[in-house]
Amino acid sequence: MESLIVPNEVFFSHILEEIEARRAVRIPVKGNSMLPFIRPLTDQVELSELTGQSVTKGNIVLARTNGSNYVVHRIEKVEGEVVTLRGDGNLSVRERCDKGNVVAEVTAVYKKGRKISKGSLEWNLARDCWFTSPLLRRFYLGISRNMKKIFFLFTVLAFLAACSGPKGMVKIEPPQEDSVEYELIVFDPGFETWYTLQNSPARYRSQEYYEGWNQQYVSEWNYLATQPRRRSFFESIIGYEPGVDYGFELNHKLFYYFQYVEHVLRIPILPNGPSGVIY
Amino acid sequence: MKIKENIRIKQIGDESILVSHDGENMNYTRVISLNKSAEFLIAGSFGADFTVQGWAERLTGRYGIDKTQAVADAQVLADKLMKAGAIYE
Repeated sequence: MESLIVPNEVFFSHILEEIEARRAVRIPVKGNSMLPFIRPLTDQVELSELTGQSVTKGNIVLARTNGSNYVVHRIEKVEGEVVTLRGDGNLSVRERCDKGNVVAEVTAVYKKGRKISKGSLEWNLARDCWFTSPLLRRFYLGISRNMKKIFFLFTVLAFLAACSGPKGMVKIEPPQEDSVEYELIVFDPGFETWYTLQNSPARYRSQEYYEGWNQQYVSEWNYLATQPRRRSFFESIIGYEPGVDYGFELNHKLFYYFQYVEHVLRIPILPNGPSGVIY
Repeated sequence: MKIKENIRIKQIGDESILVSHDGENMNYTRVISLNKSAEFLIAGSFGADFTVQGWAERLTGRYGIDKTQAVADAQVLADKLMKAGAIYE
């Protein structure tokens, strides 16, 4: 089946006409920002006109942000006329808009033809258990986003287990068809658990900070991978290039992987690493 | 043949498409994109029986094309719509 491609602005302008005519619509979804509740490409959502209770914390809405950008995200809070949105699959990114830019409400999600309506048990569980558990969100998203790679990871780990000693392996995957984000894969299950506990927005620094250190770390790492005495641990990192915007989340995670290697595995990388990093 | 009652023609930007109403919502997850001649034929066929021959005559009348070609084009369109579940015998 081929896809019909129309600009978002044009598509949603038409969708809003349908909704204003009091017709609910069912549309496909793109992107990972509402994982794990709404999966891109396979799931679909029903959009309905707003009611007096639509703009309420926990509801999933279609909103216009930054002019002509449309998102289907969950309402995190409402303060006066300002609505803060966050996708279930987003750890730190939020959007803000006026109430007037919330244009429709998601009233059902279709998963392989099965309808999950707003107010159902599964819907309420997704809203209440997921949304109010940040630690669970971080851990589960790590599994959910990498489900396709888990088998591959297990295969690699089984191979590594047959070799002596731990290995420092990371892989940077370019964006897939349904995403604009690069993905970082770390072949060390111990890191994912450790990182879940370290990933605190309160301690975030700028993307530029993490990028600057990551470039130094990657350069030194790849040098160490050529050294006979060090290459038993260090596997070259391929795919992290200067000048490429890998995004905040990848840079943050990569930076903390280097901290994990240096301070948890106690394997030195940079002679003069960053100071003041809290874990 | 007839077009199913839940089928609608919609205009999204420059695109004409067929969408279906499944009883609960307008389903934009599976649409059929129409060119101008397909839109012309379908728009004039809602609520009434039609045949491939009838469509071919309308194409010939509007576009002045050869009848053999018109029948072939009309048959292709009817087959696609039948396969997509938009029309029935």
